[in-house]
Amino acid sequence: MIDTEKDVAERSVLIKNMIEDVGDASTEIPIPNVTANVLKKVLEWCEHHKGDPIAANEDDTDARKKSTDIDEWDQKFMQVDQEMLFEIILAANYLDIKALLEVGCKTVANMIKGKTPEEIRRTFNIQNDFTPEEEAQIRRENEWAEDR
Amino acid sequence: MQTRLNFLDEVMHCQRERWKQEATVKEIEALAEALDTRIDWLPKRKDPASCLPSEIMIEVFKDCNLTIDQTIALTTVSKKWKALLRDVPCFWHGRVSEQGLMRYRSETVLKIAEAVQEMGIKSVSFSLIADMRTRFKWPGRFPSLTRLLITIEQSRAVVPLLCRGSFPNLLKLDIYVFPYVSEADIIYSIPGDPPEIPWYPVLQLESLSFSHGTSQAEVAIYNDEFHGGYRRLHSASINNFLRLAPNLKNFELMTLKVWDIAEFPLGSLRSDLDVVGRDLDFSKNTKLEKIRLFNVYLHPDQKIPPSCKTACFQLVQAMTFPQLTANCKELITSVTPLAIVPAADGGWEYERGSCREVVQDEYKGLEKLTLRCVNGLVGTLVRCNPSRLVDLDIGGHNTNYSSARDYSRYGLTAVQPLSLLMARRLCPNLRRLAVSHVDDRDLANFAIMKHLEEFKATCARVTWRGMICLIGESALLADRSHQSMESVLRHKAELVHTKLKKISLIVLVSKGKESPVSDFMYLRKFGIDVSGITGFGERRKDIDDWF
Repeated sequence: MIDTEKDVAERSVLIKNMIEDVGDASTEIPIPNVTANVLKKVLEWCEHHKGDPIAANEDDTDARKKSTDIDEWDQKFMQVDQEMLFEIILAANYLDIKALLEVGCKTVANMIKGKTPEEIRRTFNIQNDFTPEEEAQIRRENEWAEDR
Repeated sequence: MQTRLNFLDEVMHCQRERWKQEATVKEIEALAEALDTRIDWLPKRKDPASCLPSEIMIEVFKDCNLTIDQTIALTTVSKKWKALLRDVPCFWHGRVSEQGLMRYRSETVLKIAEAVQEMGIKSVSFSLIADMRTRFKWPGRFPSLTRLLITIEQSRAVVPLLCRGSFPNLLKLDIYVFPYVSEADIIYSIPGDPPEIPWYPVLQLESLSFSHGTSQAEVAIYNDEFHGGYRRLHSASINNFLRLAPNLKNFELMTLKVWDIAEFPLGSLRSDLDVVGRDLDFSKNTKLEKIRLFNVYLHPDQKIPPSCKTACFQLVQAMTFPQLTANCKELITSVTPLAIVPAADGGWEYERGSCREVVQDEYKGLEKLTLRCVNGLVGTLVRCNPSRLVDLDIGGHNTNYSSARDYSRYGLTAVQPLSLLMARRLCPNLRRLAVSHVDDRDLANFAIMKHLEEFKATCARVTWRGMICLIGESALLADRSHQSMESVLRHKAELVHTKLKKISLIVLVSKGKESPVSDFMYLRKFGIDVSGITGFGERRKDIDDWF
């Protein structure tokens, strides 16, 4: 069980709705899909951002999405291994914390941007699952424009 | 002494060996440590596409702000990434669409085409900027594509487009050609018998269009500095395309008309800079129904195939009017037809100085005639079948002319009253008529056209009195010329015996003779749609010069 302030917990729309449904902020709220260490991380982020305004509408969200700039504190916060990073993103999605989800997505996007496919494979330990024939096909596709 | 020196050497050697071993051990330990770290870290590197739901991955990709090239590159990371990206229309739709012409290198364009092929998109447009050194090997077939629009700036990529059979179900191909490039001719320079490339006819192709990406190409005006790189277009190349598409129904060749800016507004044509489209060979195109040729030089013997029902010409030179057949029902032309005289056998002959030439083309099938140059109006109308011709437009193709200068710029001249009178007599069954520069007296002439349903006039110098003539008896106006509109309208039951349903007017404002638009609104009382009536709001010097 993790104790936290109501303001912090209510960064999560899911928890906020549950508190409203129960009507008592001191009640224990089960969060079955998030492990304790991930939840602690998420609450750490919520604690830091508890005073931030919540995006009022979709336009705000879109405007934020256009930039991949991440706040310095958030960058340090997201300096975790990929497993934890994806767990945080999944938790943010489950708990409906849009701002944290955006930060997570931008972090992953920054890991992808500017890299070649091979570099991306190395970064994320992705197996190249194209068969030799498919690779040959890809090569052919890329071969059709050549200098005379 | 010697023994001692040997001993010291041996000790030093051992010491060096020991240092080497220690260094090696340290190196191995460092490597081991790094390996441990790596081994520890490896399982924590995960494919986000496996860990995160697709909707989150899509958000991630959106955050990447990917260009098309980058999107395509990401599809090669793994099959999962490929599926994720290709299944999401937002990465392709709108970026590859009819509305959004994009400038990409040709190789990218083809990859895009291939990607949209997988998504089943049927229409693609893009701008093709190919390196002249690039030789294209089209990788596959695109059977789902039925419409393709490409803008070519520097490319010979049109060749493989058709002759490689890449688009076996293509119905419509629009090619926009960027006119200002140094490598003239190259786009259409298709070798007649390419040695190594097999040619495939595009049997499905129904519509082929060459233009410069603007429907107003015929009025484009450019500075002289551009003329040096102006692209010529040769009929041999066009004919190669025509041969490839035997089932073509629509063909359009719209090229830029170049006006010398120094001579503007007289509109002197710089013929040496014009695009050439001589002697188009339609012999293989037996299903061709519609032909549009804009600003094209034609061979004097150019023939329009018998299957053609609509012919639209805005030709450079007037003396080479293409020969129509009796099957052609619609003709739109800016060409002044040659003067003709009755032949001894009852037909018609062209009069070329002392020579006479039998008129071979037929206007008898024409139902709709649009003349942008009215000098030869009567000569054209006498060759039409008066019972068939029901639609005559001699009013100019742009209703927004604001001045006489515009008229001369667009190559238009006002119809002479006598010609109007002749037109009325030669085409008594007209249902639709569009004219320009008419006045109240002209309208009185049209009053007896009992079948007229739609009337349109531009630059009209008419008043409510003229309109009453149009919808009623001219005699009534004469009888009541001194009366007010209200007084005349009281007898509207006597006035109206017309089939007119629609009238649109652009009223020319002249000195002291202004006809407020509101004056014509009374026509609505007779059940006539008058919504098109507008007037020139601004009096300009060149308008005044008109009078």
